[in-house]
Amino acid sequence: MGAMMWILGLDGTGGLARGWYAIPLILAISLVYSASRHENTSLILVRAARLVLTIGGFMLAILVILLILSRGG
Amino acid sequence: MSQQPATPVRAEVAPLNLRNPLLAGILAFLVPGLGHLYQRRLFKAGLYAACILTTFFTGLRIGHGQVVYFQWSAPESRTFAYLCQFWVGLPALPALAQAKLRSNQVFDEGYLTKSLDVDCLGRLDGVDGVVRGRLTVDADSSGGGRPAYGKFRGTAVQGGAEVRLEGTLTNCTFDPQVGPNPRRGVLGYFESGGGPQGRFEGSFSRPIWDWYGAPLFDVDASRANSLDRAHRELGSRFELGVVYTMIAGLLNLLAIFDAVYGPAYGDEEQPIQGNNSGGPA
Repeated sequence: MGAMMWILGLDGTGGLARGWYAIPLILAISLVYSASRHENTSLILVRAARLVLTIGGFMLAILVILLILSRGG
Repeated sequence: MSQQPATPVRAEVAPLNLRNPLLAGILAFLVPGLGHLYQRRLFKAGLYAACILTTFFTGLRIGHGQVVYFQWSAPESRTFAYLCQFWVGLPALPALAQAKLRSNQVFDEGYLTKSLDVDCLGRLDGVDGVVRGRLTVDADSSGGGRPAYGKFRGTAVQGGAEVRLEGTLTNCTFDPQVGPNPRRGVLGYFESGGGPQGRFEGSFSRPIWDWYGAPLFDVDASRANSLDRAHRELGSRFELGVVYTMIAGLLNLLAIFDAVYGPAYGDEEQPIQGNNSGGPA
C-alpha cells in the first residue's frame, strides 16, 4: 500500500506524484493514435476511449502484480 | 446456395480530399495540426494541435525549459531524445539553431558582446533578504573578456527595514550569454560608500532566443556544466520532461502520415467505394 501511495503522491512526502503524470499522456496517445486510424469523429472518440481503458487497465494490472511481488520485500 | 461474406464495414466516410498531400505533410511537420487545417479537416487539426502541442509544452514546463536541446559533438552525451523531439517541428527546431548557428563566443562564460542595463535579483553577503535593483555594465569594462565591473543601484530588506544600495560591482563574471536557463547568473563584489558590501550573487533575465533550446553542457566542474546542475535541480522531472517531449514528437509522426496518406482505416471504417483519397503526388 505504501508503494501505491508513493506512486500517486499521497504518501505525504511531497514528492512527485508519478502516477498522475501518466494520465495526460494516455489521453493524448489514445486520441492521436485513434485519429490517425479513422476519419469519422465519433469513431475516433469511441476508439480513443476504448484505448484509454486498455492502456489504463494494462498499467493497473502491472501495478498490482508489482505490488503483490513487493509485499515480501 | 452460396452466401455472401459478411462485410466488416460499419461506417462509411465521405470522400477525402487531401489537396496537396506533400504540402500538407510539410505543414503538419512544422506545426502539428496545420496540415490538417490546410486540408480543411478541422476536427483533426484541433485534436492534433491540442494533444501534441500540450504534451510538448507540458514536458518543456516540467523540465523548466531545459529538456529539448541538441548536442552531438560529444559522443558520451549525445541527445538521442532529440531524434524524437525533432518531429514536433517548429517548437523543437530552435534547438538545432542554438547548437549549430550560435557563435561559440556567446557561449563563453563571462563574455559580454554588448552593454547590460538589466533588472537584477540576488543575494549580498551580510544582507538577509533578496537584493533587487538595476545593474549597468559597460561592455568595454570587460577589457575584451573578463572580469567586468558595473554599477548597481537597488534596495534590500535588512532587519525588517528597507535599505538603499548604490555602488560598484567589481570582478564581475557572468554565465554565458546563451544558456539553457531563463536567467543569467552574475557573480561579483559589491562596494559602496558606507553601506553593506561583500560578495554578490545574482541573476537577470535572458531574452528567449538566448535560452530556448540552448544546449546543456557537460564539460567540466565549472558553472557552465549545466547538465549536472539541471539534473541536481530537477531530479526525476528532467526525465519526465524528456519523455513528454519525445512522445509529442512521435505522435506528430502519426499526424504527418495522416496528412500525407490519409487515415489508416480500421476494421470499422472504409472509404466509400470509388473514392481515391490519394497520397503524395
